[in-house]
Amino acid sequence: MKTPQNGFISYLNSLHNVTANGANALAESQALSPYFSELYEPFLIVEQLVYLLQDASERVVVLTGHAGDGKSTVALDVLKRLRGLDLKEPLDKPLAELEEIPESHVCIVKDMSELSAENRNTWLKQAFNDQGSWLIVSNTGPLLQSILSYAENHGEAVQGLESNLLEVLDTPLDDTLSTEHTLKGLGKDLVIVNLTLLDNVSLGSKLLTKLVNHSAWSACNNCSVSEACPIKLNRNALKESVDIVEERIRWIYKRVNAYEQRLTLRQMVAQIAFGITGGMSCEEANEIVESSTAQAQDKGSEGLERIIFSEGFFGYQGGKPSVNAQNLHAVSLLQREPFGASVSVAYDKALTQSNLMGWATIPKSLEYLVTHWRNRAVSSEAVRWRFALRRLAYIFGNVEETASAKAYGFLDHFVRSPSLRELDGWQLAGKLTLGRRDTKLLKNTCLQVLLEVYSGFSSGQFRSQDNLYITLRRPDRAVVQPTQLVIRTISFKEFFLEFDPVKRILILQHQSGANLPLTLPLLDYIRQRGVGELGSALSPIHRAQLDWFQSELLRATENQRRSEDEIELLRAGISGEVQIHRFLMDKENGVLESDE
Amino acid sequence: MMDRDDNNSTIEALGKRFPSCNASNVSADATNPAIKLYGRRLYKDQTPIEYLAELLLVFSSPKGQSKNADFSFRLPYDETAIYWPEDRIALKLFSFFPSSKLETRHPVHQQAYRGALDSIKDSIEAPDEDKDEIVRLLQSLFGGFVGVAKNRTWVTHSFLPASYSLLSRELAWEHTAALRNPDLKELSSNSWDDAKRHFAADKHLFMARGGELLFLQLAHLFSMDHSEILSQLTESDEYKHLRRTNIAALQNDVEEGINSILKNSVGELDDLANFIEGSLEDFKLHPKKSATLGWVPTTSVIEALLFAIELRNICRSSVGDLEKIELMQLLCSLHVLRSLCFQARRVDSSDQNTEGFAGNYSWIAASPTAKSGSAPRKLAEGSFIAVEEMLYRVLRVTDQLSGGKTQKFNEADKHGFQIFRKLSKEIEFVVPRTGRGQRFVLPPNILRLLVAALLKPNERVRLTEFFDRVFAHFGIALGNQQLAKAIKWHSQGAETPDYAVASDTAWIEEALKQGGFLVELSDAVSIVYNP
Repeated sequence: MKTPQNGFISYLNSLHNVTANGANALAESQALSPYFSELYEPFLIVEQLVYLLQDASERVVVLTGHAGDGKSTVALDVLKRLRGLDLKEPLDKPLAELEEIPESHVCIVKDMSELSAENRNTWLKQAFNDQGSWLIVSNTGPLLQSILSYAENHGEAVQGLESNLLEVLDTPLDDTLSTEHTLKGLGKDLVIVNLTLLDNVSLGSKLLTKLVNHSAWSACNNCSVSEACPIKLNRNALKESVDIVEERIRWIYKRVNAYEQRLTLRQMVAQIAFGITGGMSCEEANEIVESSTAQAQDKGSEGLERIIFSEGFFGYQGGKPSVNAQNLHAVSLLQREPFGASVSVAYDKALTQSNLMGWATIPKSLEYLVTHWRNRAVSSEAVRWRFALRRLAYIFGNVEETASAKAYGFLDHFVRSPSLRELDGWQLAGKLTLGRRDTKLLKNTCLQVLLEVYSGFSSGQFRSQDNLYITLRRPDRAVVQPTQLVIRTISFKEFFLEFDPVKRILILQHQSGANLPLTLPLLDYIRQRGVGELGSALSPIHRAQLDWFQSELLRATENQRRSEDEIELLRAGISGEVQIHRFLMDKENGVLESDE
Repeated sequence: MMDRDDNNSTIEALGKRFPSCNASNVSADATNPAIKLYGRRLYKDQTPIEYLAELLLVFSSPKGQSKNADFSFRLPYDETAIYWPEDRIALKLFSFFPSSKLETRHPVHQQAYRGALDSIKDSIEAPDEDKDEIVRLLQSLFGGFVGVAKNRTWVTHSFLPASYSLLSRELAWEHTAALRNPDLKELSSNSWDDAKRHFAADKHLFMARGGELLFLQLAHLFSMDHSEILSQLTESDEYKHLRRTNIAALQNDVEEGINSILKNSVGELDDLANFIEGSLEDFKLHPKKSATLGWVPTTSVIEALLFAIELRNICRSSVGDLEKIELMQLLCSLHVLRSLCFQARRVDSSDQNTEGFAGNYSWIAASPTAKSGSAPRKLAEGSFIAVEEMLYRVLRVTDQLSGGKTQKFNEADKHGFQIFRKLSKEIEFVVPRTGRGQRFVLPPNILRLLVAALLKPNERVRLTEFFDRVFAHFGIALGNQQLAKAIKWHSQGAETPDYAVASDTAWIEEALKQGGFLVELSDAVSIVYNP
């Protein structure tokens, strides 16, 4: 008898490259897929691009980014918008190398990287000289090469062009384009949109909800094993708690983005799709159910254990690393961190409680499996099952109202970042949502950490903590400097915290304009130092950022220098308290006067 | 082997010295092949800090009989090349004596120290009971700026060369002679004056003229028109970033840049140093003695040009002044290593040239964590051996070229060959310090220097361009192309080396990223950025 098939499962399996059938991963095939329209989430930048291309002044717009960032998808959307097609409908034929839209005087080059160097040059020449605006999709390497050689061949000033191009390529991008993304001097304005810089985490995690809620799952209803199908059970569990899971994977992606590497949309989709099916096909699922001796829904539990989302997503299978999943780039990045490791003894003791760790309610469809795992996790050798349970609690656990403090304590530890949830909240709101008091507290914590880094004394050693002392501290730290010369005293009052909506991070701003972007790792470091954790070392990159901020501050406050005759020294006394010693210098008579 | 014409032209080139007035009567100039080759002089015991300290000292001191041209790379054309450095003996007595080695504290020093403290207290206006504390405060402040102390006596310590008021010439204390001096047996009020002659200023033990040599390279570069050499150099694409260089403007920029650091970096610390020196007028050595300069071979123009460009980038960078000093210190050491190899290749004809690098040598660096026995590490080990062999060989070649009179090469090796190993290990460019498997590596601080020195502030270049520049300036092979050239040089031009060339640059990218200098733009394009 022929096994019933849901084409959507094959589609999901084609989105990741774990099995041989990864054909649907490319935008070209997506554009033609009937499943795509429901998954489609428009890039907000498309409207901007359409506007720029149709505007009276002619431009050359280049779309660039990592493979899998959505360059072709955006170009396709622009094409549909210019031709007046429905964005959700698949195209009836693949995109041609060059698409002309005469009614809007726009040409679209599908992928300049695929062309020969000579062709690239010819088309760039046309783009900059012929009438109309052009949209060119290109990988970054070939793009740079082509534009530089075009400029050279056409006698444009190349000096500094490369550095300028690279600067535009590195300009932060949100959903609006500004003059900072435009390069002048090449005939027409050249607008460069580098999708690598677009924050794609929310978009990526939203796809989970879209995949889980897709109408194509209804085809499973006709299947005889539907009730016990492991894939369907996995999907049911996800559907039951889809909002929670979306949020939790968003946090994971944010963590990876900030600490490791940026993932492309395609990499995220692949990982999510693998998490849903575990690479299992309808035939395999059918076989598992048919061959099981268990009853009803439990027939699929064994299969579900193999593919459950909370394991597949992190690249595990029943607590062990899954061989198949290692091919996924996103998984290999996630596995650099031990997600699921023990958080504290208190949580571990409660791990096998019915509400895991005393805070997490688990979807009904997983109860059987969780009971099973809890029994296994009791034994002292069952480390991997305890890891698996923690991951399951993280991904699916609904926070019980009475235990929210406990829950968030666990979640923060799980993502290994005390500030991630907080930052996520600000990013969703588009602003800093702390109250005045908490904002002030956070600002002071930041400044106290700076004080420590700049002077070498910890903030607790100062009697009053309302000034940032910048001292003459040797960068090599080769010698202890118990006494330090103050070169600038800046009041805490001159600083404020601000949320930057484009970079989507918090900024510590000085009134002079000098600012310190508080990226997640830096914010985490500050939070950890703020509560006195000693273990965390500041990575060189953030050390460099703080040093750079110091020299910015010194430059910006040059006019606030004390009068030349005043000298201020810091020294820790016997009790450890830092004392400030002030002197006046009479240069003319060579006299040093104590000014205490 | 070289033929007779080559020999003659090499000897001729080696014979040209700057300043020409120093074509000299010092005997070592004629007998020591290392000095003949590299100039007077480099010495293995000079520390990285003291290279920079000496360079800045000559730069900032008045020069020539006319005592002008301070804070410049100009050398007045007198009959002898001299400069007039400060010794800062009073400041050193005040700051370093309490922590100095006990057995070299001559009773006369103790007496002077007590006197110095009294003089300082006299110049402080504060309640008497507070004065001791204030003195200790000042001592602890200056003690924090010690540059080199090691196991030496107080007068041979040096300050971090961060400011003009902290720059001083080398003084040595002739302890044994002083102990024998009958005038110093019984201390009297004149004892300090009697002791002054035992402070020797001409030993060059620590400030061994290496910094002078760096100064002279630059002074020579700026002393005449070298535009032909520059245009020849920049014909090749690897040096295209230097095409618009104007040497006069370069001199001006470097002079102003260093000047500004020396005058502004430490703020009020200068005032305090002047206050102490002013209060201790009686303890100074009078009259101020001049110091003589050595000489450099005039062939050093290209390396001097690269050095000047790098100094300019560091001076202009947006980091703090003390960080600039730290970067310059490392640069000086790396430049000494580079100068040795540049000059060595001018007499050594047994290797072939390296395409894309005017120095015609190469250093292959591996990741500091590369496993023992792995291909990159073996290459780096082989590279170090080859460079050392070259430096050893050229001293013998130089001697041969000038008649082959040298019997023992001990001194020559100290002034030429051994410096490379000593200094490169000191800055951790070569590891391990002891034991087998010595090889070139790139620790994070050198990588940071390369970014600051080779990119203009705010400049962004592609990673491949960065690799090109690192190779073009220092001969350090990082990327695939450079590695291929380097291997070709090391294999003496033998056709197709046996191993495939595929350098693993991931570790450099990771290290650059860690330092905040690398932005991964997208698919295989990364930019290096000098913030």
